[in-house]
Amino acid sequence: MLPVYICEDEEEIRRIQMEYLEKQILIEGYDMKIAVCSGCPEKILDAVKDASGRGIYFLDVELKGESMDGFSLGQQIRKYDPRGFIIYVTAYKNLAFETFRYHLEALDYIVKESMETMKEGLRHSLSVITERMQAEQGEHREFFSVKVMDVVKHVPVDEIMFFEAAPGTHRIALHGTNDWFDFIGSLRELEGQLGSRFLRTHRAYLVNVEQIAELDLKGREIRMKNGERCLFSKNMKGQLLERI
Amino acid sequence: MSFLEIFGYDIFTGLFGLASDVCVGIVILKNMPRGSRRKYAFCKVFLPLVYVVTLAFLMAFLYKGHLLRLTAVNIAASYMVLLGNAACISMLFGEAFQTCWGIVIFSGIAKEFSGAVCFSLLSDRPLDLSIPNERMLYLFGNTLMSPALFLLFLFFLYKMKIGKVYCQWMEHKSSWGFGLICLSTYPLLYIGGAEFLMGWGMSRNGSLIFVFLIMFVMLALFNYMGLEEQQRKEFDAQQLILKQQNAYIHTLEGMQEEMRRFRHDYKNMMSGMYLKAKEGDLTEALEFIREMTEDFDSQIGGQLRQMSQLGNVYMSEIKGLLLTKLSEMQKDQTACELEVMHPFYGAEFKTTDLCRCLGILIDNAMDEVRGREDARVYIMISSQEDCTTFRVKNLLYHKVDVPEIWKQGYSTRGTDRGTGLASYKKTVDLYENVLPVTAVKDGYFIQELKIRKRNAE
Repeated sequence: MLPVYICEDEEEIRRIQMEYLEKQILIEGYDMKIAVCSGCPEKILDAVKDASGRGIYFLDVELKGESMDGFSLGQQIRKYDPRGFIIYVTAYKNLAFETFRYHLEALDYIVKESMETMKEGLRHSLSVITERMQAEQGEHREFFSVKVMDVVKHVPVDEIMFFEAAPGTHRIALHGTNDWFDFIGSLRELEGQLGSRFLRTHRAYLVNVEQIAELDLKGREIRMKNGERCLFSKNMKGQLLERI
Repeated sequence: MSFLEIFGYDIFTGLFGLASDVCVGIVILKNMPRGSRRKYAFCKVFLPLVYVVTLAFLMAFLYKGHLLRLTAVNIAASYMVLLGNAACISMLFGEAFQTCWGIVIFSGIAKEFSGAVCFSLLSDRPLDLSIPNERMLYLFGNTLMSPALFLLFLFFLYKMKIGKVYCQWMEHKSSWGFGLICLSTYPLLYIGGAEFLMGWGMSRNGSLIFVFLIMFVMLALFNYMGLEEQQRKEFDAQQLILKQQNAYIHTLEGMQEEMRRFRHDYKNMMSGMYLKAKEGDLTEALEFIREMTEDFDSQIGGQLRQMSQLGNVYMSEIKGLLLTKLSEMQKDQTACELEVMHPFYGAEFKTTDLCRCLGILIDNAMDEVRGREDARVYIMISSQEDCTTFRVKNLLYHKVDVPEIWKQGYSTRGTDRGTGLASYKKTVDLYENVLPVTAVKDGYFIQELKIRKRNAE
């Protein structure tokens, strides 16, 4: 059962949200339950700390007179529940939602312009969450997660071509089908973490064997399925040929 | 004095010299020596030690061989110490050698100065180290009095906020290089000059005072040059701000004009609605209200939003860049979703480089969407506690081979373009605290530039 948390400082709106959500859960038969409904972010946080697993959060962006705003509350919640669904409720149409989505992986935002649009938003959010959960159940994709400064990136393992170490630094560049970024780490640690699907073909390269398109034995180059190239060292030739 | 005694003494002075250079480094760079990894941390202690011991051995050897009495050897030895110390500082702080050379030179001048003041006070002629009494005096001066004077001097420098002046000076390549070369001659001036003047029959103290007078004039001159440079920079910055303010006012006036037009329209619409409502046609009236809010949003709302987001950018260079790009986009009829949620004051990235990099990213996004229906560019600047993220996002209208875009000369439009991303990559790779991110997601092309703040590890 997914716990639903509501943080909204206006009492009247909070009541409407709660009643409507309860009604929706009942009508649609969702496996959810309102856990905490409060105007005080600390109360929400205390409950989240005690709970385990993911939850659904409807957070007001502007919490007047409280110690934190919706954004920092979201940041705190993410510490305990990295996979929960956060939906923001705001009075302003011009919410900086890209920022919310980027840092908090917020699912959506609802504008409380009128009661109708707010209710519609709440209903829509619940159905999106249910769809997401169902889609996730069918999917068994493995993800590689890595911290890039203040955010965590998740890349499907089968979309990673290879890792490249920049000489003289602790920088590793990930080359993928849809992602290219640098992070701080070491190839040796990655080797241990990712297991045998990845082969250390060269001092500076850790290659996803399944993504190799062809080998250039003469130039000691590997061409990946996305067209990128990397190198392999002489003594890895045998192992490489064996694996593909 | 035996060789070992001198050797020991030289190790001590070598360590002291290096330590004082590190102190000056901390004052000027406002930064502590950084140990990145244990393996390197070991190197960072070990290598300077090896250096000090080798140097002490060499110096003891030179002294014993009476070679230090030769002016040329003395000067060469001074430079050797300076070079070695600069290399050590460069390794410890992870800064460019040129910067560290400057630090060592400053520290050296301060040390020589305090030493000279100290010995002028103690005696009026060079001390003869073979007489025990005078040797004691020499040791007292060298180990206690001159370090104390040096620290006092450093304290004054610190109080005068010399670090800031120094950093500003470094930003100006021309005067910085010239000044550094001039100041680098100080051992030559100090040892050679004093020798020369004494040869002319001047007393030792007199010659020292004369030499320091010259050095002070030089320092004052460079300080003046630095200040002038700073003033010019301030003037330029003011000019830029003035230009931006003008652009800003222009935008605001445009908005006011729109507002007036809207007010006019709105009066007409209101009367229309009034009639509809009077007739009892509520659906029509509601439609009117919807249209009106949408109109407002599309006409003024967007610009109003942009301006309020722009208000959170407190770094005037970036603000100027964004203003320029926003007005370019307006000309291209490209919408821009700008988000600056938290105030942005600056990042630890050279201003000119940051402007260039961000400019390249925005230009690329604009190029991709130009002329398309519903062309839109998303720009996000997010200042968090330990890092700042710049993110530029746009819809992709054709397939890009992302690994290719970093190559010089790659472009989807025309042949004379395509230096952008190659130079972007080159610039970004220069910084240890900057990580670039590129992604293709849900049909969007996303470029991120993440800059870590120095104090956050």
